[in-house]
Amino acid sequence: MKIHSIASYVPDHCVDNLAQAATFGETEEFVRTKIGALKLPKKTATEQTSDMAVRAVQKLMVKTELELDAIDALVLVTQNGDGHNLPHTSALVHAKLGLSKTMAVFDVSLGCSGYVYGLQILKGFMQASGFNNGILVTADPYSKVIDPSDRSTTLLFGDAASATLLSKLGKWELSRPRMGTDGSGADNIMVKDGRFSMNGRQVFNFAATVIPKEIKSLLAQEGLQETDIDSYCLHQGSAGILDAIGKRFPAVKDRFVNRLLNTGNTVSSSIPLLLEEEIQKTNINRILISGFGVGLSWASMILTKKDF
Amino acid sequence: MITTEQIHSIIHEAVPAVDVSKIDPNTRLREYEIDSMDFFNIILELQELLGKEIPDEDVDQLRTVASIQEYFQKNGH
Repeated sequence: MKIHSIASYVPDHCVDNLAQAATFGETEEFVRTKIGALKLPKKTATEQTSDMAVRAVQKLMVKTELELDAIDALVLVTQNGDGHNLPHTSALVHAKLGLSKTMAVFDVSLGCSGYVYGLQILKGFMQASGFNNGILVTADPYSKVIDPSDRSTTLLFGDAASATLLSKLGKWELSRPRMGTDGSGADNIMVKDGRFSMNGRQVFNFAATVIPKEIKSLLAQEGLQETDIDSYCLHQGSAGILDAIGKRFPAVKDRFVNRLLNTGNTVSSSIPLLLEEEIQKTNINRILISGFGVGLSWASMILTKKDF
Repeated sequence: MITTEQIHSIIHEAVPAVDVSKIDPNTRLREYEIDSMDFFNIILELQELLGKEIPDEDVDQLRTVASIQEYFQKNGH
């Protein structure tokens, strides 16, 4: 099973992050260099997580010209589903898209590591089930739980959704992943009494210490050098976190993609938003992806263009 | 013992725009336009030098160059 195509949905309505930062006394310099996002897309009040997922899948269908009844499985990564997460939001996506009743549909509850986990889960599930086409959807709108008066989180997160088609006909092969969990740090990123909270320093420490080691271990596992990777698509936590990780790879620092500017941190959608563009580039043959966050949880893998 | 030069070097690495020669050892680093995320970076480097995790509740003891030296002494460096 390989990645065939990726599509995304980013809401039109955006919060002006410079204006928002100014209300907290933060400078433009801070927003540009540490946060990285000047605009943060937000879903409308009536738009559901399932609506965002549907929009992403519809765009994928147009892009791939795939018929809806050719889909064998749909997996949705979210921790902010519709209502109270019962029923699972992927079932609502299934209904809104009018998908076949003979297909498998389920949610995966993970945050920023969710896309990499989701790829591996769906790939294994499809192989074991003899499926041809599976869609991995990410839609985790943090605007549902962010407190706009919390300066440590409200400047970081944007809403977005993505849909990735995995198929035998895809071009991008998935390597064996590296995954990890440190549940002792679970309370560093959590929703409590309906409000999202994050210990910025601990999350920064975690990302800056664990992820560089994970990347190095993954490269060693796959017998590759840092320079063998054309593009490093890491979870877009913040510009400061990306810099802290990138500076530990001085030889390839310029290959670490930072595309926070118009979206901010979109949780499990941040990696597929990058990949949607990166896999179109003719000079990109090998991509390292790494997601990390809620849990604490992390997962990394290498994508290689077929026949490269 | 962590030297003033070592601390200045860590600050310079984290925030190259700051002229470390002008940092007063008893003035809070925040006064030198070192923002919260720069501070995370500085603490991370100090932690690596110390060889152990600096708990959240100790971070307030690391706001000036002098207090960083004092903290390292207290913790066996």
